[in-house]
Amino acid sequence: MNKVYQLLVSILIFSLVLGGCGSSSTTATTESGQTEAATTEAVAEKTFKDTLTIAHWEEPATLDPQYSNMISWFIVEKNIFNGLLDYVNDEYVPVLATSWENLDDTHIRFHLRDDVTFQNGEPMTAADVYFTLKRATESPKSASSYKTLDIENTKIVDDYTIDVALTMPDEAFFNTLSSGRGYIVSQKAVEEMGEAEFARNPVGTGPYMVSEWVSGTEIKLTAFEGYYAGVAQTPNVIYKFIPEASNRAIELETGDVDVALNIAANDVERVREMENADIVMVPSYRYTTLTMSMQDEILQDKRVREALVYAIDKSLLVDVVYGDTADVLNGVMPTNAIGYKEMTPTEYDPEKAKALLAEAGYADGLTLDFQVDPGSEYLDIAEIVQSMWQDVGVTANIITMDRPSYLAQGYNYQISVRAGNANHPSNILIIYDSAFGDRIQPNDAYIDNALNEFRQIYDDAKRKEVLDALQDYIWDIKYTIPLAHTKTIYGVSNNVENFVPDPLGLVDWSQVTVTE
Amino acid sequence: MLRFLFRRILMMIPVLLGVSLVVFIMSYFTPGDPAVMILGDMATQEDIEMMHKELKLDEPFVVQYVNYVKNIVTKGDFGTSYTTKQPVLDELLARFPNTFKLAGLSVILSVLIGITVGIISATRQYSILDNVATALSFIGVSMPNFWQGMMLIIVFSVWLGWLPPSGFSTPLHWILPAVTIGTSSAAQIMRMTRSSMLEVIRQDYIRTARAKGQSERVVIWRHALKNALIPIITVVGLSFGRLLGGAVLTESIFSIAGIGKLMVDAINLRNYPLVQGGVLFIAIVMSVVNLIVDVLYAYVDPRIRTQFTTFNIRKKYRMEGDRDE
Repeated sequence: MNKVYQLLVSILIFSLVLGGCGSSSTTATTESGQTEAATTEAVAEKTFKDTLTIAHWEEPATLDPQYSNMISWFIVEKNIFNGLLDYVNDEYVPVLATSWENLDDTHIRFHLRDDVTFQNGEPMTAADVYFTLKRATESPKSASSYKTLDIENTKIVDDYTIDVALTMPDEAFFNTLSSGRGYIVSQKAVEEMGEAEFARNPVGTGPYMVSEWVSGTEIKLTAFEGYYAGVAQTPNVIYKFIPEASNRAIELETGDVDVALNIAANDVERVREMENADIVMVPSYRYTTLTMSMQDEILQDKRVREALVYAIDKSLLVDVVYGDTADVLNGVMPTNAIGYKEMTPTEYDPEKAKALLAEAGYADGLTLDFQVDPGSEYLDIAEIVQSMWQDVGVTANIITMDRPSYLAQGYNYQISVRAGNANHPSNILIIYDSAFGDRIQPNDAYIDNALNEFRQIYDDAKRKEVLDALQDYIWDIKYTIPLAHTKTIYGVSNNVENFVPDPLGLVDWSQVTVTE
Repeated sequence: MLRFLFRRILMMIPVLLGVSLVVFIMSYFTPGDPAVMILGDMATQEDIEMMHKELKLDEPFVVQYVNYVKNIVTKGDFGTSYTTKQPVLDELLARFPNTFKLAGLSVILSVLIGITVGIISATRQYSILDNVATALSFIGVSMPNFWQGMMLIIVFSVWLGWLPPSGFSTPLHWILPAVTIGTSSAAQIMRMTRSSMLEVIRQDYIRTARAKGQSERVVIWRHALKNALIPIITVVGLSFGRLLGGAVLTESIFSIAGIGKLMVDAINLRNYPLVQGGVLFIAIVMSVVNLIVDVLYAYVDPRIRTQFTTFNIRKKYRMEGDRDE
């Protein structure tokens, strides 16, 4: 045992020594910075770190924007690419385009900036825009977003002008262009490198470019000197991939990262208590909702659906599941979605629920299958709803399985929880569309027409009319039970400055600085 | 010996063919559509069909399998990952150094602790030391890795601030994960060493060694341990092989880019080429480790060594006899 003890002690000492070495070597590199800080403190100036380290929850499979479909991938791409336009403070603002005008209902002319270069040194021209749009229609991950784009009739007018043709009037097209799938790629780079290579070493017009990608560990970005909007403040950005939510909080506490993305609701308090960091929370575009299958005979009865709504105490549920990281949702879209309409909340009323169930012929109770997609907060929601429904005589059988098996069933389930993550009604309300093979399948002619109609209206007031009526209808018909509108939660070190949170997490790091 | 090696390597071919076929069949019949997994639940039917074509999932099973094996044999091409579009072999090789380092370090640590403590327990059977070590080993075996990992992070990273909480880039990063895995396999090795040593210590030749006046240290470390090593090598080899297949939980907790997490993610996304390539890769690694263990047996135990030679001699005689007839 003496030997064991000695061994343990020596391991401890060894780790201590190593610890000592590690910190001494880091001080060696930062020593100059620190002394500088000490001297310049007198003149009240700050020194900045040359690297911003971000704890990210998921590694992108690709950095090719037209072949991306996950927020976690766009978060990195946001800093490498720019789109033609962006959506800021409720309006579309120019980015790579200087302006645009509707030539007629289905033709839009975009004027492009003439001072933009790609990270490979090539100037950005209308040919690159055309190339980007064309490959978007060919990618299984983007094609449906661009379904109204008529690439055949889209014409390059000159180097900095392009006429985009649509198959039908489509207001939602601007939303697609402002999304990650609208980031402009360099035609020359894609053609020279090939798609597989481009996915790892993308070439865009953005403030940063990929300098190193250590598979499964981190992506290092370095500032692009020729960025048209001015070179980024911090020369290096590192995305460290840390899938464990609690570890992202820990890394923030130990100072190993400056920003932690996607902090879990149950870590929020912990981060708030940290001396060196705090929580920054903004409403996201993500909302959770219960869905009911309209292919199911029991649920086709509106009284049953209403009863299920009355039986849920939404504010209690949201409080238990999310604390202050989400708000009760009284509407069919996230509150900050384009054209959101606030609805009168349905009161929690178990007696009314029982009465409605009895009226529908289920006085003795009712059993429903509740399929729960693994991951996130779905199971928590399902269990709380289960117990609330139990009070009015509805038994919910919670069924969980791994995601692929779940998706493979072809959406044949009575009740499920779903989260949506979009800010444009055409992308949010698509789950009610008959053409969309999702779990609701209402085959509702009114909804189908309205969905098709509103996006063709360019006039804001008129579009709002159709959209408001559609939201009223969906709220009333109750194919779904909207529950909560969640927040995007950042853990941010106190040393980070100029941090502007984004609802989706797509933060532009080019203006952010980190003090020593 | 060379013949033995050659035979063993030849035997790997049917094993690997079998493994690849089984994995292929299993992934073919597992519920879940890779195209749906890649595109998410917002995908339309056309998107999904587009994806099926791109992934060549519309081809019949046999064609898919034959092409797969053909590409491996003729081009060394294990296919490309559905999600990243990178060659499967590159993805595996990018992760393997981390897994190998983690497995190697943990095995070294567990061998150091396990054998030392095991020997002490055996030589002082039923002493307090033995009982304490036995109790500790039970704790070590039954303590879940993820819990232990979290505790180590909280103590050494958050409270003491000595070690980084995650990552695997510098030797400092290696300590916590290696300790996490090392302690649980150390407990196993300790148990094995103890029982194996206890058996050997009672043998006549140990008494003889003592009788001829050898010091106790030489008796234990040279005479006894050498004879007790075979089962220990087996356990070490097995746990090394298992760790080379990836330690999923530990990798997740410490955010280490290893084979284990890669494989689990691949399975969850129904990323078949990566799953198939990964299983084949692990099968190869496992076979190689087994081979090394067998060679080590021969190195440690002269009796096994002579078996190889007598086997060859016998075979030679038989062949000569055949010729005579």
